[in-house]
Amino acid sequence: MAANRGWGWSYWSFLLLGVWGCGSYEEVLPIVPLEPPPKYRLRKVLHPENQPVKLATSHLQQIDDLLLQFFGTPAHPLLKVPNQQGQLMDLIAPDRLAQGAQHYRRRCAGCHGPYGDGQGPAAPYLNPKPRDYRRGIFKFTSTPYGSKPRRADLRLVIRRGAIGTSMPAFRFLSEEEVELLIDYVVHVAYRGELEELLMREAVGLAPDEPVDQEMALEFLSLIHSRWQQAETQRVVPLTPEPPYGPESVAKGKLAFFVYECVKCHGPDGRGHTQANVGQDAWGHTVKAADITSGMLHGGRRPVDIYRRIYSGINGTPMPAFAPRLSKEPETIWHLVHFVIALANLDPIPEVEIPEEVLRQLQGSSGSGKASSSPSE
Amino acid sequence: MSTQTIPRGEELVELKLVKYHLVASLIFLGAAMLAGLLMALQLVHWNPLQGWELLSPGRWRMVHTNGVAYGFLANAFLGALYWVVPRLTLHRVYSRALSWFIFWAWQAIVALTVVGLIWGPSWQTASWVQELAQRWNLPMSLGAQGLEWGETPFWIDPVALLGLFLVAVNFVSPVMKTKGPLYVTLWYFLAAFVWTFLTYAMGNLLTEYHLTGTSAGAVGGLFIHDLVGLFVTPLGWGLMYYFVPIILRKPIWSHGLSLVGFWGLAFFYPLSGIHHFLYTPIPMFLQYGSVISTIAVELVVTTVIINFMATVWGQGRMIYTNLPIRWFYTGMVFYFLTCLQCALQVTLTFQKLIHFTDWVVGHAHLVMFGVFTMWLFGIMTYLFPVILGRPWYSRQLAEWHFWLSAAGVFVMSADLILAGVFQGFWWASLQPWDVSITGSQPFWVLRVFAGLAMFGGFLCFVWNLYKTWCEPAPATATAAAPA
Amino acid sequence: MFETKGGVLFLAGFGFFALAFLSNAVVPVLMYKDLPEQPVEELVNPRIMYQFEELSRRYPEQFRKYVGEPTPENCAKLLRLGRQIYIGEGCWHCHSQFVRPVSNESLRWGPVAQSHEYQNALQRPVMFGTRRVGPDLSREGGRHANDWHAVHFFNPPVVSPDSPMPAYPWFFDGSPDKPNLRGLAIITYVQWLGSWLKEYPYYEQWNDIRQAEDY
Repeated sequence: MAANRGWGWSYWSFLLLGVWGCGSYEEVLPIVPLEPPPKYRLRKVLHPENQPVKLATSHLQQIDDLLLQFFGTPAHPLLKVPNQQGQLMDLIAPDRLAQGAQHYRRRCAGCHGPYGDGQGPAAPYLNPKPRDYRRGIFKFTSTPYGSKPRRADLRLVIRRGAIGTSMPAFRFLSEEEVELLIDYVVHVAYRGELEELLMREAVGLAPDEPVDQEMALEFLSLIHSRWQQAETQRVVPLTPEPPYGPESVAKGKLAFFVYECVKCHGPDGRGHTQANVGQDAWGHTVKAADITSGMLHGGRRPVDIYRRIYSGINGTPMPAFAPRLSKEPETIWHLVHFVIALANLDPIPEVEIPEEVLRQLQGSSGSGKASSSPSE
Repeated sequence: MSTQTIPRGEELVELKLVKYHLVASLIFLGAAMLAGLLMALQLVHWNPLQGWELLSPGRWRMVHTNGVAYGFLANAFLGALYWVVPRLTLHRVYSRALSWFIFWAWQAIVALTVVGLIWGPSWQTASWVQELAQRWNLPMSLGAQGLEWGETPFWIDPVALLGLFLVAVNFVSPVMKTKGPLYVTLWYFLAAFVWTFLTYAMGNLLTEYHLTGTSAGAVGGLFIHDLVGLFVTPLGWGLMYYFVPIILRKPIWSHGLSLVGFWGLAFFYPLSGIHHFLYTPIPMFLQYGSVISTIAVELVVTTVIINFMATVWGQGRMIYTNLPIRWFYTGMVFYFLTCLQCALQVTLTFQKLIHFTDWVVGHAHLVMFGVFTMWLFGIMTYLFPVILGRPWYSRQLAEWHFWLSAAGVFVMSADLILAGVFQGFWWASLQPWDVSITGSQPFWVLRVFAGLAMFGGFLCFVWNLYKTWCEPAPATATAAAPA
Repeated sequence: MFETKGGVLFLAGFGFFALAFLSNAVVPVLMYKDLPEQPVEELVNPRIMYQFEELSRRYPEQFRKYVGEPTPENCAKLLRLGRQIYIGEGCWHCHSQFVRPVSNESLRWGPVAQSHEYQNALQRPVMFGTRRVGPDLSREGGRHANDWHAVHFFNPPVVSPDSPMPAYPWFFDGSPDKPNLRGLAIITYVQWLGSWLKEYPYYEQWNDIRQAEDY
């Protein structure tokens, strides 16, 4: 038995030795608490000059009260809008919000934060940053530049993820759960947009002028009409897709130079260029994608790429080429094919780029970094 | 008189050696069970020790399986062999010194394996380790090797092989000194010494250094399979063929069926290695072959079970009154169940559903604990009073040991097997992955408690043993050890 | 013969073992003798190089400190090391690396596993795996981004709800944006899995038929 005890002790001391090096990793990266505090935390409004603006306490209180009355809290979300209830319900089903919030906390809050502000515990370590829904801007849509997404777009992003970013694909979630999540995300976006609009409005108000319900309802119907409009604005390719092949790819490569895609994405599509630094609508530094990675964030179907070129990417320096290319719709498809060839690592045919195109490129890249602004 | 010509067992057996091996086996079993508990707690999010490198459940999971195989089973088998082989052959083992050398060497091997598995991965980034791996084109570092049950770090392999070789020499020597046909037990033992050595060499040398991809899969499957079938199984059955007739005081029912059992096992068992990797890129005709031979094994097993059931026929009450016999026959019932399960799960129809699920984990526990550990517990329950020369301190504790172990392993296996069926359907129905995780939680929680029951039974046994050991030896009792 | 030492030792012991070895080991080995083992250096492809360079840009200080430059040679080195960690930490006990042709697995993971995918130095011995507590990893490369993997290794349940995977804070120097050599290596290895397929990284052609028209 003595042998037994001796071995037993050595086993325990071995265990104790294992204790060394214990870290407090859970403090660095905690798991989201299930019940978040009842109030949203958006207090600052982005002024056009990116300066936080101080608002009167009374206004803040009024805005808070209105939002609480309309939208409830993350723990108890609701949709109670006088007069417009019926209209709003065609986009958000109020009776499903509580359930949606629950699923959201489980699936999404780790990155997007319990408040939908993109500030989950994982967010500081991710790049591109998780989306802040409160701005109401969504990157990958099937609608024209600057428009709201359709429900189907949100559904697609949830299902397919944004490959190449930290947004995973939730491919096998049930129909029901996806719809619940969309409801909640749209709800958060409505709330955030209304909050922002009211705050912007409050900047110009005297402290004794109240932010009242009428004002809020007016803004809400504006927001609502934008979302509603988006449902009817699906971008459909202007022409059917021509066959994919070296010819089409070659034409696409030429267009890649002519339409100055190379300025950000580089002649090899890898995005290692000087002009390739911009800012997005959320204030983060962004770079044009490396197309050769094969991971196109907005999807790799031809129609996805078509829409990225045609409608751009909301909130980022990637402009919509619709104004310049709607007259030559075939070119969009050639560009799509060139992008596919780059992404698939297919052989790229040799194309001679005309002198004047190169000269023009050099001229414009010399003219400064204005080219990376989204206002093209 | 025969007593003059035939030496008595006590004269041949080094009792201390048996004792030491059995105690060492219990220590490793305790460690291995705790390691399994850690992994079980991890799965149900109850692991309080998360985030500590040297307590990583991933590493301790390997301590669990290897500790059971090489620490517990090998030690306990060796202890029983030192008792049985000299009695059957009427010759001492090859060398007393060698026996003790093997004992300490084997403890060192297992202890170093544990150290390697736990500490090895921490050294992976050391530059000399990386240089070593690169220069010799090693697929592994100081820690585990990438083969289930063959995780033993590569630097221990040669020592372990030498150990197995010496074990074979030590025990084959007395067998060779006998004349005439051998008793059933010795067929199993003799073959097992050869098989264990070859299997270990095949798995740890061939797959690690020479074989790539699909062929490595085939050989890896053969290795896992042979380790159960050609190391644990023949030693276990060999011991049953010895202890059951000894305790029942009557011969095995049919010598013919014994022959069928041994030769059927020897022929069919190793042929079914590939059934661990069905639906892999391993050629389909090899997969079919392994399925067919597995089903053949099941038929052979049935003959063995019939043989043993017929042996106890008429003395069924012994199962109630005699603890070792109860352990043995409970193990045999589990053996039949697990082999029946095996014959089912090996078919391609079942594989679709249950491969990769907890069904397999349930199966493994049913075999390793429900059968072989139970048998070894039975053997220990029989041997310790004889060795120590006094009865068990408490029959009550021994009963608790049995019932906690039997109920624990039954609940655990049934629970995991059922969980496996659920998991298979969840996956095939294309639900999100975490559905299979959250859905498994109730099963995994139950598994923790079943495991705790088994561990509780083990503690009863250890306590009982401790108290028995500490009791003063009865002055008059001279243990009548069976020759 | 069936009860003699010679019979047991040579027929059962050596003979039957050899027979099984012949059919279960020698046959497959001969079948694949024309598919030689690919060395690690040949496994570095543009896909994994992209991820590798991405790591070097994302964690520049850590990368420079532990790896140096994102060259193909360093990538091969980290692949080798990453696989050793995959084995040493026991990842392969809960993650498989093959997709079966049954149970809708190709819909979930991507193309069914084929022999030639495994004929390389990083599959010696092969990492088929025996249990799937977590998902299959043979088509994991590119499915998640490097930063996702960093956060996930640091504390899995944050990005993967209810995951029972243990945390691996020792792959990092204190926080998820500071992976050390082990962290960089294991991420490189995981991103390599599946990178050789032409389907990368959209392994399974996901199509929601009901709404396909709508998109």
